[in-house]
Amino acid sequence: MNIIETSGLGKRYGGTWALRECTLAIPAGHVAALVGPNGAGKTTLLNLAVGLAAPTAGTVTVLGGRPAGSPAALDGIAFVAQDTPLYKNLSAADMLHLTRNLNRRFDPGYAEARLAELGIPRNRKAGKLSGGQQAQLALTLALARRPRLLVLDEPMAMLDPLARHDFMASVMAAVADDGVSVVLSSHVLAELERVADYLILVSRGSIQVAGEVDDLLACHRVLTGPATEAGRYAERLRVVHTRRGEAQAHLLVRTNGTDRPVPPGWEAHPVGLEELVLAYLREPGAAALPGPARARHTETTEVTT
Amino acid sequence: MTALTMTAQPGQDTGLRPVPWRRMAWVTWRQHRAALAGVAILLSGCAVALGITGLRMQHAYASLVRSRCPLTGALTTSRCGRLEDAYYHAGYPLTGNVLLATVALSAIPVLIGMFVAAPLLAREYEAGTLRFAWTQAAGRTRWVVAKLALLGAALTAASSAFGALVSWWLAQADPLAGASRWQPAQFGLSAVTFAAWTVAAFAAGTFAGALIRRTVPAMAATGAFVAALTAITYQKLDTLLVSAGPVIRRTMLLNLPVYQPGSPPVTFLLGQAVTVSAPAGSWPLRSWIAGPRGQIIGSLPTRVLALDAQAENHWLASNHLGLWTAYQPPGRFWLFQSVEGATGLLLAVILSAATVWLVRRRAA
Repeated sequence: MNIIETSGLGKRYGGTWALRECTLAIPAGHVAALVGPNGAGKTTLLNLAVGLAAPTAGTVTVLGGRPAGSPAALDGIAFVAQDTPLYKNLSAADMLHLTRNLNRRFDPGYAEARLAELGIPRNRKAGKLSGGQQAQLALTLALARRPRLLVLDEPMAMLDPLARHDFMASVMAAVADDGVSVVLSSHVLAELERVADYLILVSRGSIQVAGEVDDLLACHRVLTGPATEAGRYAERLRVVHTRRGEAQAHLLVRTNGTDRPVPPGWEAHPVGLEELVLAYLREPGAAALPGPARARHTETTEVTT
Repeated sequence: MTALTMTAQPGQDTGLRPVPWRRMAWVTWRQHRAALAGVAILLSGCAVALGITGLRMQHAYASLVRSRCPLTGALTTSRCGRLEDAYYHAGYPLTGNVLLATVALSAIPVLIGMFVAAPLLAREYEAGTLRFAWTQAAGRTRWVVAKLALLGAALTAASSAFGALVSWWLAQADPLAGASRWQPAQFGLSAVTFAAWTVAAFAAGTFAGALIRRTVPAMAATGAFVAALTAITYQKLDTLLVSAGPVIRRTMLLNLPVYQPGSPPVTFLLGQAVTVSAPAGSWPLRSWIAGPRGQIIGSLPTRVLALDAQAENHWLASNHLGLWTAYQPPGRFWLFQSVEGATGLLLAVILSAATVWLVRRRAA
């Protein structure tokens, strides 16, 4: 089952396309990271998936074919929007009761226990809680709905490092306990690297990379060799990005799992997730998508200092 | 980490029961109880002032009726003059300023539109909380319909009761002010029309909030729209409405009547001593004198009426002249009220439907 599936999805605000020709299928059972620079279209994609916005073009379905925003879709998805909006004048207990009344399913015992565990005072107004507590409260409300899909939009942007750690620990505990699928967006990759096992890279309104993290890492290699030969290999291999030093060049190549012999004088290294993402972000023309490989041969270079 | 105490039930999406309205009522109440309390305080504050002065006027008016005092005013030295003076002071300062009081009361729907209705959606847009509210299982349609229906019903009930109180108070104050419930400003303050305009103002405010999405501009737009609507109603609609198809009949001049229980009998007070008769509680539109063949000789009150009514009637009859009056009979009052009430209600329904349409269509 695909937790989110889009086909030719596009959203235009005024005259500009925030998202365009987006075809994507995120399978269930993953913690999927939606990564991309600010303004790439991450929030637009998530808003379309949770039914807050309607597509200009194409379709989006969730939870195995339910139209986004339909009652069945809303029932199974919990969404924590950017900056975790809560009613600032309501107490934590009132927010709980409000969420309970707005949903078919809600587990008040779980929510109360989690508030106690987190040390969030029940009677304090949501607006008076710390940023970390507000985020945790929003997450608690979302998880107590027992969703099948948890969607988090930039959940940690406002949090300090400790609160980020606690927040992600809560998310991962829910994944372990309840098997909930998670899609979370961030422009900071570092905070997702440890938790995400599925990656979607959005750039300039289109999907650049999508796939399981293990598969993506397995079919990319960094080749290091003499800078003078870099240009020659770039023509033969699927080079995503070339990083040139004084003497050596580092080529991020897409191998598609078939490890071709390394040319003499060159060394192959496995690639890290951050390195992979950065390479693709620097090459907006390159793509790694399921199905026929669409990686292009590019020869843009960058001089390391 | 606390484990979830219930197990997920994947795939059960056929025949999903919607979230019950009762729960939406709790949500509406919890989020808007402060606004409703504000309305309750405003209305009950006005109600106390109207109630006290109304009761005192009722008492003073009863004394005038008992003493069979004529409807005059200004003769403060006589017994009736003193009683009229007491009547005036019973409701002071409201009685001396009935017009001002009615205009002030007409501002209540404007305030409700601005402070209760306009922020309803605009504040949620501004704070981004719609992204929370509209992604819950209840869905945005049920969410907005519940708020519009429940708050609209609460405001209708409160404003209708308040309108009934205002009507009663005006009935106590009108004889002294020479005013009538048929007058434009008073016509909009009954249990029917006040409720209709209040709920229309509420619908206009929520629509402005959904359209403009920012609280302060939405409040300003609502205030301007509802104030303009009220002014147009008073200036045009009321006048047009109550002048439709009047009853025309030949009438007589009467001597100045005395205070009577119930609706004041008079209508045109000509000079100091003579009135043209129309049934109690009716609304005279115009009077004129016609010749034997029906030709209009002149319109009242241009003629000098220094003589007493009996002699005047005799003089008219001996000259083959007739006195005619066009008026709305009292029985039509509630007919016109329901026409205006339906107009306000229709406007409210249209604006509410437009709000729901905007909410369904627009992104958060």
